[in-house]
Order: sequence, then structure tokens, then C-alpha cells
Amino acid sequence: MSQPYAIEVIEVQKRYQSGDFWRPIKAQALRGVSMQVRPGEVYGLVGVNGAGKTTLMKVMTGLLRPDQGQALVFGLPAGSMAARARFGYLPELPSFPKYLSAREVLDFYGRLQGMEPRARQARVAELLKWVGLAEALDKPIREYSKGMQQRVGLAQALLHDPELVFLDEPISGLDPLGIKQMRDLFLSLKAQGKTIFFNTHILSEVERLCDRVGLMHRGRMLLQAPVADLASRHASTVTLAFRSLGPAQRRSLKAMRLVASQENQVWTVAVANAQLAPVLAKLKLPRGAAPTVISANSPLETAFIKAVRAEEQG
Amino acid sequence: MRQSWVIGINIFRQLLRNRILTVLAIFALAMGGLSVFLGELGQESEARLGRDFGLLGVEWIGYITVLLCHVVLLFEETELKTITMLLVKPVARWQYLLGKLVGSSLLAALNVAGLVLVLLLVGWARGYSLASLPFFLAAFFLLWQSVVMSAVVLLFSVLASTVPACVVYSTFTFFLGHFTGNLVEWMAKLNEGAALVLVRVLYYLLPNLAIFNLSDSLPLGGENIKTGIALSAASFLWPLAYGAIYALAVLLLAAWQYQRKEI
Amino acid sequence: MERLPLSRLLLIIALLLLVAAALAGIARQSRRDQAELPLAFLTPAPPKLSAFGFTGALAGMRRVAADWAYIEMLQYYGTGRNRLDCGFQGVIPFAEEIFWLDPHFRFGILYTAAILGFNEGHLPEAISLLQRAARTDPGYPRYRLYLAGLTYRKAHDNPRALQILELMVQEPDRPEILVRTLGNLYIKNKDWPKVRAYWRRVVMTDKDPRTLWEARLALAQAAQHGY
Repeated sequence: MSQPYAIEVIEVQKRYQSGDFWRPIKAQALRGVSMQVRPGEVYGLVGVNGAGKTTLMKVMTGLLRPDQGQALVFGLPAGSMAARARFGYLPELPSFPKYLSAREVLDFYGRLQGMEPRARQARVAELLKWVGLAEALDKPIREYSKGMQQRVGLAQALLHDPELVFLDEPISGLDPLGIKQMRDLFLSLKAQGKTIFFNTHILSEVERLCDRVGLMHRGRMLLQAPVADLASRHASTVTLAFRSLGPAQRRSLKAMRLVASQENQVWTVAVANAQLAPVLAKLKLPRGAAPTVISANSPLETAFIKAVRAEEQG
Repeated sequence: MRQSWVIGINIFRQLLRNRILTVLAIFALAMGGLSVFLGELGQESEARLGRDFGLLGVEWIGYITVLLCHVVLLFEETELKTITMLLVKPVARWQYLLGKLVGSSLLAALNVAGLVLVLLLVGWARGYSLASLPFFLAAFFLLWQSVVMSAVVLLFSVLASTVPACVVYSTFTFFLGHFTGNLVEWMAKLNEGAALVLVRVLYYLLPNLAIFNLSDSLPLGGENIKTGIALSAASFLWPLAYGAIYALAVLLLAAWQYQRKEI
Repeated sequence: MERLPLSRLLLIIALLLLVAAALAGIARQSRRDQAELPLAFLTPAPPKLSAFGFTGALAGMRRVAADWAYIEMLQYYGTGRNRLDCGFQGVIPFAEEIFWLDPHFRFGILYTAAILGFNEGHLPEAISLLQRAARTDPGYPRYRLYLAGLTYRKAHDNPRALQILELMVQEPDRPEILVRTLGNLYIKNKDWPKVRAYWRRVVMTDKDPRTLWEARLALAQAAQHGY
């Protein structure tokens, strides 16, 4: 490959340390994670809370140093000054000095990027207009809503027009209108050909925006694939709940390669949408014993649930 | 260094607009009021009392300013995580720390200047003048002491993970720092062997804040507070140099530890 | 910074701290040579040293501690019932503390010496204080003037003592208490024109209610004698 990956993570391990320096608290956050992101790609990293997504992003941005392994950004060591000049970062729930205005905050970050005054002023005005904050740019940030602060955060990440943008839970805590506004901005960035790497636990956004997706669970990368592949390989499923399943019915399910699990005297089975009618027909359930649909999963959800269950059982 | 200056100015601006300044402004006014009150108590020594307690107020406002600055910044870093967006910019961590020192020192300078102005106005209203070179020199060196203490508070803000711990360690050091110089003399006089060794170790580690208090050594004048004997320039250079080198040592340790800190 | 090993860092810091300590030592030495105030405990402390005085001396805040002792002395002397304490004998430890903390606190020393010697009759303590003050601060002539006044009082040479007091009262920035002291001495000497002259000054300059009451009483006595 002639052009380096936009992001390359090689067997990264990280044991997280917190607390006072004489009394540290340690937890294994990353266990040998490897992944690559190509330039121009939109990559979504999903996982439950505590899976290690934010820790991995901090390693990639240089905020944390891995205990083992390596993270590279455009072939440069993550955290190096050269690497930092090529990406922008929006943390989860970004916070700004309350008494400064958006213009002042962006001007400050622009100075740190070494931008010349005129170029900086023009870029700040342009970005604030692009994120829809032109009317509020001189108001103190303490008067901003969460969505507005998120947009200021996005603007600061794009100030120096980076090739790569890291977004950590960018739609977390936003209302539906805020989510739509952010989504439109991301689509605009995608259209500009930027590489976007974002963390989320909202699969629907991954399905909408991403080219590739990775699933993390308990510090490991369980699954990485193009979104289109996962959608074609896994069907939408429903989860059925039965009050009772006799031995014959359980044998039928096993023959159809379906797993029934029991909890609190209720049996549950995940069945592909397309197979629902044939399965019910083969079970020959008595009258009044029809199952209840307790959840419906998209292909991505189905893939992830399978991967997580396999990890937990194996 | 340019990055540190940019960060320092930004910190100065954000803290200036923070309500933290209201507390300090109230303190400055309270010191002015205390000067008047003590002047009433002290009768004919009003000028001397106004000057001496005024300088005590200058010392305190300088320390409280830098302490509050770092407390607010530490809170924002740990609770609000404002630091993450800054540290992914092309800024070295030591530049960020130096910027905090610059910002807090600028705010301390502003507050000290404000308090000195309040004291001058109180004196003028009460019929005496504090405006003299020795007085301004004494105030300047107390400000320099605040800069040194800012470096110390900065170190504790890096070492301690909570705000209360930072406040306790810093204030403890602030108090102890006034005693160490004289303690060494005292212990030597008493020939206490093991205790003398312990005190000497503490003396090297803790800041010697008595060095910056020129009140006790500058002839600020007995009856006539306007005249003063000129001390040699070297007398002023040593505390300046001491403060700079001590602050540098503290900053080095803070920068090294901060480099390793997980954000 | 990142690649600097801990051992090398500690060595650099230790060197810097040593240099800093050397500079501090030079600064202390130069202060010792030129300083107004001696460093703590180089001279023996008085037997009754308050906690504030002790702390102030140790913390390099002797001037402020001396001011505080002075204020406390004024508060003590301003409380009438302390007269029962063998004629405000409690002023003596305050005087010693003020002098020990700041031997250059001229006004405080003169004021306390005046109270002890001219008002309350503690002549030996007042004379001792002024003699030590004059030795420490030989450039200040008022100590010798006050000493002269007290010496004449001790020798019961009232006319000479009064002459010295008259000189003291002419000085600018003298303690106002001297005017009252002189006024009381003239009442004892029944010199009514002078009683009227000095107590009228007190009425015009003092705001303390008790002092004003005392002044009006003295003026009434003078008036009874036709002045």
C-alpha cells in the first residue's frame, strides 16, 4: 500500500490507571486491539459503555500512551506534533470556558494551531456559520444549549481543515433536532472526502453514516466489516417469548438451528424475519400458546448480538 | 514559549470573567476596611499599621488568587474535561503548565495592583501617604512570592487528583514556607542534631517565603514612611533569582509528572 | 521531557534546589548585615511572649506582630478596670514584646515608655526600655529626651521634668498622651493657666469620649480658679 492508513492500530494494550499517584487504581481497558482505517473512509466504532471505545480513541489521539503496541496516524506516531497537526478531535460532551464566547474560544484554538490572524478570523467566521452559530458567536458559552456546545466542539475540531476527524459519541445527549443537525454536518464532511472516525453506541447512526464498522466488547475488537457486508449477511430478526416449550418443540428448534434460552420460566428465541412463518408452522403450537414478540433487531444489531454472545460464552 | 503565552493570556481572560474575581475584589475592599479599622485602633500609628497590614493583605491576596486560579482550572480539567481538546493541539504539556503559571501570575499581578491602589486611596482619604519606593518594592516582592507559590500550587494540582487535596497541600506549604528560614537558625542555635537534619531537608525542599517579605528588612521608615535607606541592588537580586530557580525546579517536576499523567 | 529518566530529572532538580538554597542563604546574610530587624531568636525572647508574637517572629512577620502587640497594648490600657492591675502593670510585657519584635518601632516604644513612666509611675521599667532602645537605635534623639524627662521625675525634680516634657510636646508626631500627661502634672502643680492651655488642646484634637470628659473636668477646675 503506497499511501499509509489514516489510522493504524497494532496490538494495542492499555491498562488504565487513575487515583492519586501513591494509590493508583488499575483496570485493563484494551486487550490487544488491532484495526486500520483508510483515508476517506467513515468508520464507526460501537460497543456498550465500558467497552474501551473512548480509551482507544484517546490512544489514537495521543492523550493516552499504550502499554504495548502502537497507534499511527497517517504513518506518524499518535500523539506526535506532526500527527496532531493532521487531525481534529471532538470529545464526548465537550466543555468550554463558560465566560468566553464561541468566537474567542475558536480564536484561541486557532492561535494554538499557528494560524495567521486574518486567516484565523475568516476561518472562525466561516466555521461558525457552517455549524449554524453565526447569530450566537459573541454570546458567552454558558448561554449555549448542549447542541450548540456540540457544534462549537465540531467547529474547533475542523479549524485547521484536518484530513481526519475523531468524534467521540458526537450525538450523545442531543435531542432529535440536534441529532439531525449533527448528522447533516457529518454527511457534509463525508462529502468533502474527510476521514471520519467516530464512537457511538447508537447503531442506527452507524448504519446511516459509516462505510465500515467495528465492534468492541470488554477491551477487544470482536468484529470489523463493511456495513454493507454485515447488512447482507445478517437478516433482521425478531426475538420471540414463549410461556412454555415442550421437548418436541425444542427438538424442532434445534433441528432448525435455532437456540432457545430460558429465563424466569420464559423461553426466548431469535428468528430471522423471513423465517418467522415457517418456524411457527413447524412448532405446531397449541391454540392460545402463540409467542409474544419482545424485540426486533436490525442486521447490525443481529450481528453484534451474535458476536457478543459468542465472546461471552467462549 | 509562544504557545505558553497564548495559553496564559487565554487563562487570564477566562478567569478575569469568572466570578472568582468578585471574591478577590471583596477581599481587597475588606483589607481596605481593615486598614481603616486598625488605624482607628492604632491612633497615631495609623500610617504604619495601614502599611504593615496592607502588605500582609497583599501577600494574602496574591496567594489566594493563585490558589483559586489553579483550583478552578483543576476543577475544569477533572470534572469538565476541558483539557482534552487543548492537549490534542500542537502544544506540549509543559507549555500548557507554563501557560497556567503565566495566566495565574497575571491575575495575581492585577489583584495586587488593585489592592495597592485601594490602600493608597485609603491612606489618601485618611491623611497619610503610602506611596514610597520601599513600599512598592515590598509589594512587588510579595507578588514575586505569589508567582513562586503559583508554581508550587501547580505542582500539587498535578500530583493530587482532587481539588481539596491540592488546596490542603498548597496551604500547608504556604504556612510552613514562612517558618523554614528561621527554624534553621533556631535549631542550629539549640544544637538539636537529628531534628536539625530533618529541618535542613525540609528547608531545601520547601520554599523559603520569608525571603520575599521585605517588610522586616526594608527600612520602611519609623516615623517618616517616605524616606528609606537604599539597600544594595544585590539585596533585591537574590530573592528574585531564588524565586526564579526554585519555581523552575518545581515546574520541571510538575512537567515531568504531567507528561506521564493519564488524561 | 518524555525521554528524561527519573534519576536525571531528580539530579537536575536537586542541583537547582541547592543553588536556590545558596541564593537564599546569601539573601539572608545580606539582610543580617543590613537589616532593620534581627532574625528571630538571635536575641533572647521576652519571658511573656504572646502566641501571635511567637508565630510572627518565626514566620518573618515581626513588624506586623509588633503592630498587633501595640494594638493589644492600647486595648488593654484603654480598659479602665485594668488600672486595678497594679496600675496597668500589664503594659510592661507588651512593651517588652513590642521592643523585641521591632526595636525600630519608635512610636510604639515612646508611647509605652510614656505610659509606664509619666502616667503610671513604673519608672524603672520605662527607663530600662528607653535605654535599650537608645542603644539599638542611636540615631533617634527622642529616646534620650524621654530618658531625661523620666530621670528628672525619678529624682523628683519636677520643674526640670516639666521642662523636658514641654520640649517633648513641641515635637511633631509626638504621642498625644503626653499632652494629657503634662496637663495632669500642671493640675498637680496647680498651674491653672497651663492647665487651661493644655486641656483646651486636648478638647480640640481628641475624639475619645472618656478623654473629653477628663478634659472638661480639668477645664472646669481651671475655671473655678478664674481661668
